[in-house]
Amino acid sequence: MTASSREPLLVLEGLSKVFTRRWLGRGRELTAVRDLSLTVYRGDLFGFLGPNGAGKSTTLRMALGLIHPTAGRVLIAGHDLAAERLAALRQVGAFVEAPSFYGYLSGRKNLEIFAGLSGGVAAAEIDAVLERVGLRGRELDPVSVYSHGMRQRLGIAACLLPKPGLLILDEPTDGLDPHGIRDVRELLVSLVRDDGLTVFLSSHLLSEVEHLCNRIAILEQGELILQGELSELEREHRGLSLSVDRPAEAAALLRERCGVQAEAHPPPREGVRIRPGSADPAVLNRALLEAGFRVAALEPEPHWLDRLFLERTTTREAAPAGARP
Amino acid sequence: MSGLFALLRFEWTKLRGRRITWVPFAVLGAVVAVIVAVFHRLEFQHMLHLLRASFQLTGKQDFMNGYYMTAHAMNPIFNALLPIFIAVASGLMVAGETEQGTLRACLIRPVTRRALILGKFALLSVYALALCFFVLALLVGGGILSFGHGPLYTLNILFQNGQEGASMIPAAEVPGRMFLAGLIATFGMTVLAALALLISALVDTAAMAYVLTLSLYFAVLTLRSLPLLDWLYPYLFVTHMLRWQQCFYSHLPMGQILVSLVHLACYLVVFLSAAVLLFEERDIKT
Repeated sequence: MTASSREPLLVLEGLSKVFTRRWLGRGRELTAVRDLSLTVYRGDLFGFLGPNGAGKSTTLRMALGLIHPTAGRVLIAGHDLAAERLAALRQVGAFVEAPSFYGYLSGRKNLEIFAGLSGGVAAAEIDAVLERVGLRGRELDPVSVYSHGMRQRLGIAACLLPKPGLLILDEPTDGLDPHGIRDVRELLVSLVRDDGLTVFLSSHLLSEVEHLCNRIAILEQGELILQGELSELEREHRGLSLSVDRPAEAAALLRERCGVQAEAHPPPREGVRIRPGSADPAVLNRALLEAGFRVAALEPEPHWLDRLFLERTTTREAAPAGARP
Repeated sequence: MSGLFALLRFEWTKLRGRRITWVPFAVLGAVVAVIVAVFHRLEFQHMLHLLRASFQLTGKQDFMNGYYMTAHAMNPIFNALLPIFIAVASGLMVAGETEQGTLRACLIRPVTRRALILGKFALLSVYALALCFFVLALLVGGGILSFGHGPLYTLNILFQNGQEGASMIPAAEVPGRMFLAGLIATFGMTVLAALALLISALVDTAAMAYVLTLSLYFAVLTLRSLPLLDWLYPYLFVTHMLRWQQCFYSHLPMGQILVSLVHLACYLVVFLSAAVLLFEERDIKT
């Protein structure tokens, strides 16, 4: 099924945010997000990527009504967030930055409060969600004694009450140990596959997005620079990786004999990268063996999304002053 | 309507769970105990000394009673201590939650910002009422148990802008007067709570919210004590907040009290409307 034939659940249309700081009558404008449009369809597990300060959090906050857009609009299940805020937010479970709770109250009481703000849920539903996120038995402890991982799980539990159609999650595996990361990822996949939820996932972890998501968007300095089906992007951007002795000579040979775009990696990751195209790995392998090369591995390029991300975004230690509120 | 009740219920759950909510009650209990002890040992002798300097005392001298202690202890408690507690509670409710991130978690739920603020204000009003009447009950109870009851004599210098002499209220009227004073003081506290919510809507930390609120309150209180600025008094919200003191005049000035209540209502509407408007327009960036 193509994206266009599915029902749009979250639509951001021409979204912009300009923060204005005034000091002694002199205004200073900082553009955090510029004319951003993207669509998340029902059933998507959508990865939202961008370097620090790209405007991801501002976008998420606008999508949830925490920040008022300077221009553009947000539609959730067809409801305009500005005009039908309550109807729109009834479809959503979310946390931004990190899940926040009343530390002096128990996990269960926190869930009752947040679910109550959405109209309330039965005690059995809270039990079921606690079971699902693995917090049964600890729900009566005050949240102040919870570990970081438990708070993240409780955050996801809060998002699931009452059952939303769309989950908007900001770095849900941030700070979790490997077991926690695996559990959260499995939970997200199960929520989409078994419960029919749609997930809009903001993450720094490219491998996470690559393994979980079916569609992605990359934001850079407040502008959308890439959006699409992950499988299509993979077809367009994922090449082959070749481990071979004498990589420079092997690359030259492949260019000459097979007509592929091949380039040798400099040390320490010595090898050859073959750009995406119609190259048949078996043909390449035979050509190399016939020429006397020792091929150790010929496989789909690992970390292709990392490479694509780094190619398309500017790597910076710190975001420019205008990129974050 | 059920949504507002649900909001109130959740705000109550949060307020009740916070240890700091109960600290003012403990502090007030301790303060009343100290006041009773101090009055027992010192204050009545001091009062007698002052009265003897101005009047020739004859007959039954039963003015040193629990009502006298209550009326004179209300001044520092209602004018300084309670505003501090109310400002802190208000600051924690909005700016404190902004600081913690829990406000953000509430605002991404299907609830309007206006309902959220009004729910917090409603609960703060109940909290102010509870604090005012808790301390009033302790003072009256502790005073009567320790010193008995009788007519209430108050030194005008404490309640009537430095006028000389004393006022007298018959014993039967005193409980009603104290109840009325408590209600007016509570109304004044709700205005302060609305001001604190307004300031909370502008800042991101609880400390900043209550420090600003209290600075404003005490600054205005200081202005009010300057004789040269007496033309300003009718316009200061603090003037009307302190109107509960007039419940201890010999003749209850209902006209002035009603005017002050109208002023307080106007301040309340202005502060609360501004708080709601600012809060609705505000970007939640923390």
